[in-house]
Amino acid sequence: MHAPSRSRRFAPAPRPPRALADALRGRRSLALLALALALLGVATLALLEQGGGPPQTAFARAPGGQYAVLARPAGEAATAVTVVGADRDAVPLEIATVPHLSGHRLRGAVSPDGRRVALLVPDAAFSGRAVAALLTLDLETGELRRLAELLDPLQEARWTPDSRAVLVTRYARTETGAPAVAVARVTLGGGETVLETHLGAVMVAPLGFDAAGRLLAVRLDATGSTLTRAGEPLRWLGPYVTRDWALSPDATRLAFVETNTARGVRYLPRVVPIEAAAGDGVSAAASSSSGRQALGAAWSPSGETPRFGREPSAPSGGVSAQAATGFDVPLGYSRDGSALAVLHWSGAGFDEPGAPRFAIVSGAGRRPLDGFTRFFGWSAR
Amino acid sequence: MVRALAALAVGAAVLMVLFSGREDGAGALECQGGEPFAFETFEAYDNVGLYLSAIELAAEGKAVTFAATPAGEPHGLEYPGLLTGSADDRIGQEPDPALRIPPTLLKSIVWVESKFQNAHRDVPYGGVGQALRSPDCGFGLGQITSGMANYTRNPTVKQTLVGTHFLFNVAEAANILADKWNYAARVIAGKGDPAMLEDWYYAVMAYNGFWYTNHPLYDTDHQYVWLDWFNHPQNSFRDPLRGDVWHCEDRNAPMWLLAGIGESRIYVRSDYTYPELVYGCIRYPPEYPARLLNDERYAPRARSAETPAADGETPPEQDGETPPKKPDEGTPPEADEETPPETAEPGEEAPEETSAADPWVWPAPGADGMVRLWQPVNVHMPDHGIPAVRAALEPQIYINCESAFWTGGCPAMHFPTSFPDLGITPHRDPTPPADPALLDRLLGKPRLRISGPADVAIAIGEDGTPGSVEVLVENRGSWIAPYRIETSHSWILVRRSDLPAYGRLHGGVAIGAETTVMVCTAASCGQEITKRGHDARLAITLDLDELPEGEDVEGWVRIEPLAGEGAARRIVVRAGPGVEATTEGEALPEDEDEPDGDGEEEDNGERKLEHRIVVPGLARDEGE
Repeated sequence: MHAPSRSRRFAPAPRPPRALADALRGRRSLALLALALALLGVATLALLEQGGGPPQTAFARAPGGQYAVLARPAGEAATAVTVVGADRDAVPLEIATVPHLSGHRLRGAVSPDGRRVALLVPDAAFSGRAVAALLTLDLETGELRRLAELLDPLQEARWTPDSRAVLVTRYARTETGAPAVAVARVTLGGGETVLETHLGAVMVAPLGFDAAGRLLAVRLDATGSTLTRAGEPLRWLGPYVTRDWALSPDATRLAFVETNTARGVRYLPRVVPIEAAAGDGVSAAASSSSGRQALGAAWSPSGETPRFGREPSAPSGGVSAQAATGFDVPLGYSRDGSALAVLHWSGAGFDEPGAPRFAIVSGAGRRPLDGFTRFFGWSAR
Repeated sequence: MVRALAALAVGAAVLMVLFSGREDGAGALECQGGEPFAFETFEAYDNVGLYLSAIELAAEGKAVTFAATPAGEPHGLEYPGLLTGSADDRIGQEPDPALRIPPTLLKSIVWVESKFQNAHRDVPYGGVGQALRSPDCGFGLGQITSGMANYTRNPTVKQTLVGTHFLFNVAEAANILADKWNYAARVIAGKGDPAMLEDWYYAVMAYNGFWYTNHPLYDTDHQYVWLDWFNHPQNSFRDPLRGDVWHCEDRNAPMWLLAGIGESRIYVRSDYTYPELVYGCIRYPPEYPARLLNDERYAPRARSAETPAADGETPPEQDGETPPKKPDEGTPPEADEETPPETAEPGEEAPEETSAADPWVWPAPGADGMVRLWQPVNVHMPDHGIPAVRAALEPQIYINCESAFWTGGCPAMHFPTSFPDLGITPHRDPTPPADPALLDRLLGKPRLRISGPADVAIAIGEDGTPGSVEVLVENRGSWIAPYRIETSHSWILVRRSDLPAYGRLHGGVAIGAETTVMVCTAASCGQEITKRGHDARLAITLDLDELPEGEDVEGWVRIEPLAGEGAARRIVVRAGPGVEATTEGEALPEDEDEPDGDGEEEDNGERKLEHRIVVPGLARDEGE
């Protein structure tokens, strides 16, 4: 194990003060700061007098229910984080608009307590490449906190079970130049701790924690994909790239999609137990449909079987959320399991997927969500 | 009432914090080295025709034909030429300057990088202002980052030319791409034939950062950009349904997909790898801007329908309201009718005849009625259904090569681009050879003249503000005259005298009087305000943050022309407690930067230019 490179860089420190100009500037800054503090004090007192506490979003006053958290573009360089109730008539509630680089999109994950969403915001570039900042957005107050910077925008943030920290990855190299990926834990206060470092990996995806609190992750390296626990290999998932990982609610099974390149590129659904028994191999998600492609994986809270978004060419079976035409890529079950967020495609297969549309599928039917481009997870009130 | 008071107080506090100089983290990534260079540049009004022409010349290695500045300093912007063939073929081979980069490829890269913007978005088309500079110090059209860091406080000739003049900027973009192609450890697609668009796959990937070992940013602080799993098509976090290339904002492209009702697109550029972006714009070229397309003076014309007019033969413009038919300003050079078409050599595998197969020839509208920036080419992307391609792009191969720093060229990653049995053959670029005569027009005949005192003293006023002395930089020749500003010490500050907020300036341009420069657009000012040429009025002053305290100091400023004619000027600068008064500036020429009234007569009877941008030699004004 090698310590990962610490590459956090923030705005440059101010230059050393110069006599006259700085004295003037310093006095003005102090005056401004004092006035700002005074005004904030007035605001706080006024609010406390009303018993209102900090500002609240409409979501904080929304009725009880299941709420999907989604992204809607607000122009080319900003995204509105929006909460949509699972009920058919629920009005979307915009929480905050987050600026980012033009032509980019946010990635996000809702915290286990449903209070915040962790956002990977590509808002800077380095040598022509976008780099992302980790922000958290409080869904009830609209408060945005900037926790970390210089992150690969192509990753998914993962919350710790107590909703007090977010896991992200950073690329690193050892002193000898060997590639490595570090998994870092970033607290809501911005403190960052490296949990584990994966030498030789080009990508690591934190999945969650097992019952003993050990981090489960998938690493991609020259051997293919490997499930790890606390940074150590647990089981080999195969020689291929994997994607769309979903840990079962009890953290005993892993559903994922294998990018199988044995005969062209095919996306094959897989489910494996976390604890490898002797002779255990990676099995197809369902033996009757092992050749069928699928994308996306989601577990219902009951954790019985995962849902995959299967290509509709083969006979149906196993995926209850499939639409009459086209296919659904499952994105996540609501916390009570009553609704499933999907990205519905109107086409006949992955080669010609047709037109996309987000939707919430529930016992009440299918509710299309027009204009949304990313799903971040579910909250509840 | 209480809530209103609270809201007011919060708002005021937020505003105060915002304006008290606190820097937000967003986009605040600093450039490498010290303070990033600040250049001024000219944004051509015809930013399509002129830039396309410049790119075509650069792709052929013909954009830069002089090796040094008027003072004799080499700029190092010469085209390196290209190697050709397999890795074995390239052993001992010298790059051939006669081989061109496919111009369409370079056009697409430049579009992806900058959308053909060379200046900051606040600079109007036809105006002079800050060069486009990304937060990570990517400059201009090609968003050149390599070699643009400020490690020495004063820019090199090359840095200044790249930052101030679109022609040199795209020349450097071409040179970087050529270096990526030639790099000895480069993996090779196809037969390594630079004429084939698909054979550039790895070099295109490299333009965005592949193989960083020879890059100045390759150090332990920036390892995260070195690994390039980011650009692998099978990256786990890229959507498999995104299609094989970007739609390049073309509404008629297959993957321009809206998220249900509304205008929200499911896929945006960040969903694609860099090669998918570049090849996407080759397949779906951007739409020609209506601003130019609907203006007879700038609309593109079929090249075969025109013959280049020699300088002075172009009919003079007669009236701004009824412009006569004349060659387009900035129209790409016409194809020489005697130039033989590009054909495959005997015995060579015949590529797809892209242009012949197309039902139309650029710039005619396509089947969708859209006129595009260049002729589309239906390029192939690596097909993972073909075993040889799939094997080369296997992630394991990729990762092993990456871990080995691509030593030996990583032959396992080579893949063919031609599969005639499958109907797949690589594409040649349909762009005809550039007209070399256009270079003279894009370079013009700049002649820089710098006026101002040779020795200045700068005092600090009672209010703590330093004095300043003005220097005038004029282009007595034509078109764009780039210049560089050097200072001996960081306490000497040179900035635009009329735009002090811009801060320190490291280089800029003066524009010849034959060129109409846009000062303000009709959208901003109610009417277009233009002027003849552009003189740079520079203020020499002091940076109090850098000025040594309590001592008399002496240094110098050097302003130097970088192209055409002219002599550098060195100005001695003195400051400190012993300097009691700031030098009175010389009587500089009357300010000719005053905006022209549209179409009004000057006192001397000469008709002022209309709001158009003239390329030297392409169009002449009446009486010139």
